[in-house]
Amino acid sequence: MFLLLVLIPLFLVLLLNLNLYKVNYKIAVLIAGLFSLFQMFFIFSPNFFSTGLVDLLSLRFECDGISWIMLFSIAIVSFAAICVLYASETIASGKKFHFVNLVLLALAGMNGLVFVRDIFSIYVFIEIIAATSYVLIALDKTKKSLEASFKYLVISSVATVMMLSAVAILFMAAGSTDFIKVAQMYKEYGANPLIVVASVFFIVGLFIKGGVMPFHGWLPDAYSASPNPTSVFLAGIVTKTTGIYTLVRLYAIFDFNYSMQLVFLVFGSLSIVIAAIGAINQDNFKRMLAYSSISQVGYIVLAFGSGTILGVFAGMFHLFNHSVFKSLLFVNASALESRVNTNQIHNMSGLASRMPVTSTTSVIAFLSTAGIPPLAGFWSKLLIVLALWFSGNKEFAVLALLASIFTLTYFLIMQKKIFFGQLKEKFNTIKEARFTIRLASLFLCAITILTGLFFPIILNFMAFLFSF
Amino acid sequence: MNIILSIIIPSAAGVLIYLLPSKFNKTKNVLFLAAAALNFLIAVVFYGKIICICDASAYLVNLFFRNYELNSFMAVFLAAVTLITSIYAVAFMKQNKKTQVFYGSMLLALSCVNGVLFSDNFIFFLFFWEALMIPMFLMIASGENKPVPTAIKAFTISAVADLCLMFGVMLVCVAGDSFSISKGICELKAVVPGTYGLFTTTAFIMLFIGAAAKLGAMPFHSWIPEASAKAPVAFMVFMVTAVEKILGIYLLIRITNDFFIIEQSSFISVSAMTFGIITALVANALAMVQTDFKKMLSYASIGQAGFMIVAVSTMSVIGTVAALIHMHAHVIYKSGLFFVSGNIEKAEGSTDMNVIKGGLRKSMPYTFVAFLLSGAAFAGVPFFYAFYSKEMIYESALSVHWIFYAGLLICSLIAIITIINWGARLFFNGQNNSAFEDKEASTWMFIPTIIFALACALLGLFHQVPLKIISVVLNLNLPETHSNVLTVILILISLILFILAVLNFIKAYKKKTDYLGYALPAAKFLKIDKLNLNENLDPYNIFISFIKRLSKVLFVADKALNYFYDLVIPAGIGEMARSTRKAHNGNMSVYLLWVLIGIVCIFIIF
Repeated sequence: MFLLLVLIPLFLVLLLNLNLYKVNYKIAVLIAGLFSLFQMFFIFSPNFFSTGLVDLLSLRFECDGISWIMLFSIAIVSFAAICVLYASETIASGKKFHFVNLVLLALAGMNGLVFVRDIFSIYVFIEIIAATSYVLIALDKTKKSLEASFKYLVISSVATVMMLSAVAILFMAAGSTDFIKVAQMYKEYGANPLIVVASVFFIVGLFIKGGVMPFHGWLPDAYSASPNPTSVFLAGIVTKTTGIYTLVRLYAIFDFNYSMQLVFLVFGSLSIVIAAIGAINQDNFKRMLAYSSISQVGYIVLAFGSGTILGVFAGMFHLFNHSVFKSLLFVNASALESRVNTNQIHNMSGLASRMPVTSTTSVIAFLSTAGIPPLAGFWSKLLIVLALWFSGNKEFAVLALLASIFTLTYFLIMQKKIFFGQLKEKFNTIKEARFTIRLASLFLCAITILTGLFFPIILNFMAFLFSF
Repeated sequence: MNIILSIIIPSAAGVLIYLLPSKFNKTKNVLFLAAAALNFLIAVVFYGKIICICDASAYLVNLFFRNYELNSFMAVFLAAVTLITSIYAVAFMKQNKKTQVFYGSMLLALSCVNGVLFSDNFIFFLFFWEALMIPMFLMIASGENKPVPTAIKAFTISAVADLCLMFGVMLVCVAGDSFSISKGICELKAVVPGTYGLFTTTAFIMLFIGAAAKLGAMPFHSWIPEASAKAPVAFMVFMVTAVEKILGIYLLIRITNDFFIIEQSSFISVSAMTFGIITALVANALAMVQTDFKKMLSYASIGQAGFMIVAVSTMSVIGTVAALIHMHAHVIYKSGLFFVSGNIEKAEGSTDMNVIKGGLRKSMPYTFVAFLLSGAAFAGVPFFYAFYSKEMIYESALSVHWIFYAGLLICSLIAIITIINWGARLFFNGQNNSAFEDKEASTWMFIPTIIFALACALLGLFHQVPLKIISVVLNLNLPETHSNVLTVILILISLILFILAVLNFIKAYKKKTDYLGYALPAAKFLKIDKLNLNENLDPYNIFISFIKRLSKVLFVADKALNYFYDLVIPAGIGEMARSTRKAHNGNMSVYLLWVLIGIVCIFIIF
């Protein structure tokens, strides 16, 4: 039953491109939006988990609680990206049609990725998503977006080579790429130097995909130069699914020893601190958000580094929260760009009075990012700190806490410069962003607030999901 | 479904009340009452039950919350008081423009208290404990006659005490090596059984200050009498009488019974008892010289906090049980008396004796009956609820040293004289007798008043029931070996105390000036009346004055420090940010070099 979520988007892409009917971009956008909503509600159906395991074409597909969290995040972010796309005035109609096709393909890829249970299929689905991402970034064919896409392509190819090599080595050693067999092989030959090389290759590949420092070089350019809906989609979910979610899966397969834990802790911390410092001095709003993304990904990796089930739980919860509030910030960036035609922070001032929805939702999003109670980000960061503390990594727990000050700093600077202060005269006539952008903002903002306020219920529900 | 609903439902209803437009006043009233009733229902349904509904949630939820007899008992009791108080508040605050803030804040406060009671994790415990200050501030601020300075005062005093509590919790966490309250306690007990090193002593003192301040003990008391004059009566019942006492006693019992093992008559025990007895003596003496009924009740409330501290600090089984029963009794009779004061305030426009002419027994007969019942419990009249708890406290104090017992007797004597004086002045002092006019409280104000008043009498008659419940709740068995002869002697001494108070009243009645008799010259001799009027002696004002002086000194130091911070730190971080930005120059070969460095680093780590 859950495989419908892979098959339906593929079918929709075929349907849209068969030229049986004259389909304009509005219908395409509507179809993609409806599919996101369908996914959002479909996963709540009581029989969703009942299918359990599916063997298709000798591949093992499975849906568990972690897959569920990812599916929900994917649906939410896709819906927000589609809303932004619809309202976008800078993307031509034809390109919007292509965008929908690419998003549906990426959705099929991401949904497939969260179901597969063998490392080769993981690689294949990651590449499907990556291929769509390259085009999505370069969609408006400006010099910057082409350059960003090219950088992503080149650095990603390093990841591709490394992951494929790792898959090959593991296949040679285990005789299969299935998770269970690879895990068994790790138990027997985990210390073998060749297997260690494979582990390192795979982790590096995923770190590149996830934008963990110092493998993040492509990320600020890709997020800031790509069209707005692409930024929402990429930052909100694509990199999290390909890079971070996959880490969780491999977590269960690889022999999670002290060295691997140290790698996660060190690179997670590095990402948190350096990216947060990097964000402080940015003048481009989207670029600042890109650095913030790297920093928040650092928190997730750090949580995984605790090596406990609470750490994985906290990391997944933060991944979900991050998907929501970072998408919200990118949606707001789109709202601003659509009205003031720039992303340069120094060109904006006092916009809160003209764009109250954007300003208010932005405050909520950044407070959640900085981990201010009672918003969602506070709880996930608290769980991360607790996970680190309980696992004996107290120094990293303290670092995670202190780094929140940096987060608060750059967001306060951003909020003050963009929304507060004196309104510039040239902005006297501007209005709030278009309806669908506001809809996406309010939708994501509501999720952030409600997740925070009803944390005990969410906690219960997530614990229930983790029991699968 | 689980007990966490008692945190979620009141807070959700509270937020909703805040958000509802002012034209939906009736909806707000209904929502307020419904939330209080639902909270009561939840507390009763989940009394002492296991917290989780599904096994899967047990792993994480049990990290943070715990439901067992003591906190369940507290939650049910608070829920009942809240429900009754909410009925009174709706009737009392009809004309008040700030009901929205008050109702919303009261529900948020209820949610926070439930959070404190059910937390099994120190971080959550502190979160809810600290969060409580916000609704408390807003509830005081929703009063009349410029309440904001009083709200600030309450907030500041609570914040200082809570800082001590935080420090104490931190030390306990370090000692127990866990944030888990139940697990941490076990480990702490195992580590320091009965030893009083500097670390343990500091932790105990800090936690004790936090609990005593919550109870309203001196010197953290001065906001309470002020609040009584400015905040609504419902605030005094809900927050000062119920919440503060419940939380204070809850923490005090946890500290003395669970967190630390302290021997009876040890230095710590005797010091805490001394602290309690001083609070009781000074507060009762100050209560006696008040001219405002609500202020008198506030000081008396502080005095009873002293009783409870003395009882718990005896570190005996009987003391702990007595403290909890006395808290229970105190909440009931003091709530009844505060409601009586509210009824009088509604009728007369004031509770100040300089404004009220007296003789209210004819114009407010039902309120008078409620006063008699609640006042009798306050005075510790035999067969009323507080009589038994006070006798138990006397016995526990005597087991440590007779001087504590004597101190408590003096406090009780003052309390009896005070309540007789007030009864006579409010209800008998006949200037209003001729001009009879029906000023009785409305039905919905009277019902809560009489519920508490009747509870004083009924729980007194059937005192074995609460005694048994509380013994089970505390998992303690009262020693059966204590001497019946001793008990009889103690009761006789208490009766003599009554006779003395009545004789004093008869003596004063003849003079027809006031009814304090010999107590007033004694108070004047001890300059208690001056202590009452002299604001310079208010610990809060002393503290603020000290802070002002300190701030002047610190301002100079701060300027120097700011110079350092303004220049060095921003410049440092700015330089780091600029360097990071420069490093990201868009050159792909640089990015690929970073990837290479990263790979090498990972290989090195492996």
